[in-house]
Amino acid sequence: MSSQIAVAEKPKRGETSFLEDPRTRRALNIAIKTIVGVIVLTYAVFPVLWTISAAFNPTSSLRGQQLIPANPTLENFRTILEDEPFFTWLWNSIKLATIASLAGGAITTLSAYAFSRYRFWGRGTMLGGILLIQVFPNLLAMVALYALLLTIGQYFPEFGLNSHGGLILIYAGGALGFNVWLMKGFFDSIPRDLDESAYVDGASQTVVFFRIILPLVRPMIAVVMVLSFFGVFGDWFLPNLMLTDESLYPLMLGLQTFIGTNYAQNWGPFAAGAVLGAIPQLIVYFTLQDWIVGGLTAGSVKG
Amino acid sequence: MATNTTESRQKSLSVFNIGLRYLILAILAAIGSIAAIQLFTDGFWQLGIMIVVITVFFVIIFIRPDAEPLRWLSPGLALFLVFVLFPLVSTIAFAFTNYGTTNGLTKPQVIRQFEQRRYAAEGSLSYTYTMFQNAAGDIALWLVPDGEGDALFVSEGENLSFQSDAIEYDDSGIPVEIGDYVALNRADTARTLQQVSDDATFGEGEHAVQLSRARFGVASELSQRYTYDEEQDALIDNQMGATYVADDSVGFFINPENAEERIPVGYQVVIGFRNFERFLTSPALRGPLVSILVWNFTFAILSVLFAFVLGLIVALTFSENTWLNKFLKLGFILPWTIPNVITILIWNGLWNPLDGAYSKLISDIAQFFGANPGVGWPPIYNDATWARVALLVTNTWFAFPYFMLICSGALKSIPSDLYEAAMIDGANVWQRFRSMTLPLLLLTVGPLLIGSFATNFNSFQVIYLFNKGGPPIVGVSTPAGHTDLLISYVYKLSFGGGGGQQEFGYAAAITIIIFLLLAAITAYNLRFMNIWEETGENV
Repeated sequence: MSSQIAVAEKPKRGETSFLEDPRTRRALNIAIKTIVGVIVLTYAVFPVLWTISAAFNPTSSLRGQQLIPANPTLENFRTILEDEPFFTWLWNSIKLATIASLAGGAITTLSAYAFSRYRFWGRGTMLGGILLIQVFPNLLAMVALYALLLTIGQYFPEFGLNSHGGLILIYAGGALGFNVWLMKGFFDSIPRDLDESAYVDGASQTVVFFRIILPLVRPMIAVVMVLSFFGVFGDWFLPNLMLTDESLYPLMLGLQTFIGTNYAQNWGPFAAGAVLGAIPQLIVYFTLQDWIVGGLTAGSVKG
Repeated sequence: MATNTTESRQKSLSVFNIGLRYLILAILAAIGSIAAIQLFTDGFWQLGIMIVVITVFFVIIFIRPDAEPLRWLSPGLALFLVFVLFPLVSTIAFAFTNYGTTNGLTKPQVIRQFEQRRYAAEGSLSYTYTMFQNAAGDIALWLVPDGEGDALFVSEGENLSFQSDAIEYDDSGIPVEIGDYVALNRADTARTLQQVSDDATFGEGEHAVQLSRARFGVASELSQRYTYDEEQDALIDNQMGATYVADDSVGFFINPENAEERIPVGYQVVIGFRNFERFLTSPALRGPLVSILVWNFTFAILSVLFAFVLGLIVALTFSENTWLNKFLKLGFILPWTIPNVITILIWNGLWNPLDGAYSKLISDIAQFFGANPGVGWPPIYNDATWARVALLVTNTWFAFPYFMLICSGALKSIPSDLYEAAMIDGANVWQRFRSMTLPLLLLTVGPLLIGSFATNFNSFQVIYLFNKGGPPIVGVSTPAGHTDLLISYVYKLSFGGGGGQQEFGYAAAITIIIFLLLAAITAYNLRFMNIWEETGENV
């Protein structure tokens, strides 16, 4: 941006020093761009290319890997898909992430609607409290969460330790965070006259919420749900803490356990699994990057 | 406005609707009460209180018309209370208890557990048994008393009935089959015996028996080993004839004459500030803590700084809206689209000391400059500095694209006539950047930097998957490593990353210290950012 303006100024030759000469500037500009571009691009892209290469590498171990494998093969994909319960992991991840983000999205939307449309006792305190408690990620309460699921599991094993139900409850409970602020902002941007004219026309509150307000914030709900979907999809910590049964493992924990057993030897099949496991998020993030960044800027979590 | 509409709708509610609501409420209240009573009897009084609070809360907001807004919030609030606020409060509570591996249960639970223990008392009746099994695999025993008495036919937990005259006996007077149960021979018995757990009790009442592990084919009647004496608040060991009095200050049943002699399974008690005292006074524990704390701040600050600076440089360099820049940016944001866990595991492959691409590169560079590093150099995972640098390089990789995207957006929103004005005033590139771009940018990005700091401060996943916090710090009594953050240190203390005992109480005390630190930093920053004022803005 600054360079454009520099060009617009056009000082005459001879009157300026070497550094302020437009031609030197342009050359310098291009040089800087090339250097920064090459370095950062290599830094950003190389690990990904290296992993893709490993996925097709016939030796399937770390040793002797080249960026462009000599005899590319799908053997690593066969190993991870057939010899390891890859699809079980994937299914577990999708199940957890879908249910948790649907529940979380519903909770967030309902709460944000109340915060936006009603004035009630304790509203400000609650909104502030939600923000402050965000500082205390459920990670920090790990002992208490573990003990909580242990207790619940004594009465309802399907919501206790080593269960998907317990994890989903924790994820959904944590949904009432920054996302509420985000959604509230969007509800706020919808004029209240809209609700009121509907009430005048005799619509009930349920009708106003589901037929009028909800369609308007649908894109935002989608963003919130996509973000929480991949938040759960990419989570390793809670499943690692709560799950012991390997058939319940989600993808991230499954892949980590797989590579953890023998790093150097399992590298090839792991890379194949990593490539497959990264694809969903990669596609969605590339497609929705503007939406996601917009959402994140309004109330950030990742980064 | 809201109240008016509420009232009018209240009137229009049919009797049926109201009736249904009260019915659902009544059911809900009943379930809540039962759950709470059960929790109280089992000693989980904290969770019990929580359930009571939530139940009362639900009943009130669904009865009072003016509590309507809270109805929208109720599903979220209920989950929030149980899975966010309750863990938070119980973490605080844990910090004042001795909760841990040896003291995991509540006192009533421990007592109940010990009252269920059985032993074969001296002089108690023993039996010779023959094992039977039916098609379903159920096991039954034919018990012949060693002294006088009738034979019994029992399965696990109950006496089975049989008609003695309708049974066919073999030479030694043992039935061949009873109902659908068939007698097993010696070899089959031995094999089946492995499926029977050590404390399985056969039969019921005073004739309940347990199989002797020492003598094959023998079962003995059992008596209760421990009895709880409420008056003395003590467990009496009937086998050894000893009495263990509950000492609520340490959470163990101990021998009153010799405090060292205790029942190894203790229970949870409040021990006041002892965890905090231990934390502040024990040098072996405090030692790693100072180093961990320093590294924790360094890591969080540098992570945010590197990611922000690199993101900003890229955003500034490629700010023009050309097709080449757009294409390059697709490459730059690639790391951001990959799940963190996969990122770390991939980078572990690149840093692998023997065969990793980046380790090799570093080693090659060193060789180029004449050094002769051995195999396994650089010691990425064994040397504190190398590990920390590698960790920061990895962390910056997936964090910078996010800041690049944010900064690109923010830069576009800075009006260009501001720059023109500055140019006319003779400001050079650096001056323009320092006094205009950066301050304006920080206005938007500032809160995100703070959020990112808090995230990185507790970046457990990254640290733990990278190297489990290692390399280990030598000469300390707890499992601490040079790249450990407080959070991963807490994890190791809680869940025994390095083996040993789980110290939930002590870990919770450290958690509280982390929380106070973070809350103070955040509250200060939030005030600085004036974010609180937004709360009241739309009233």
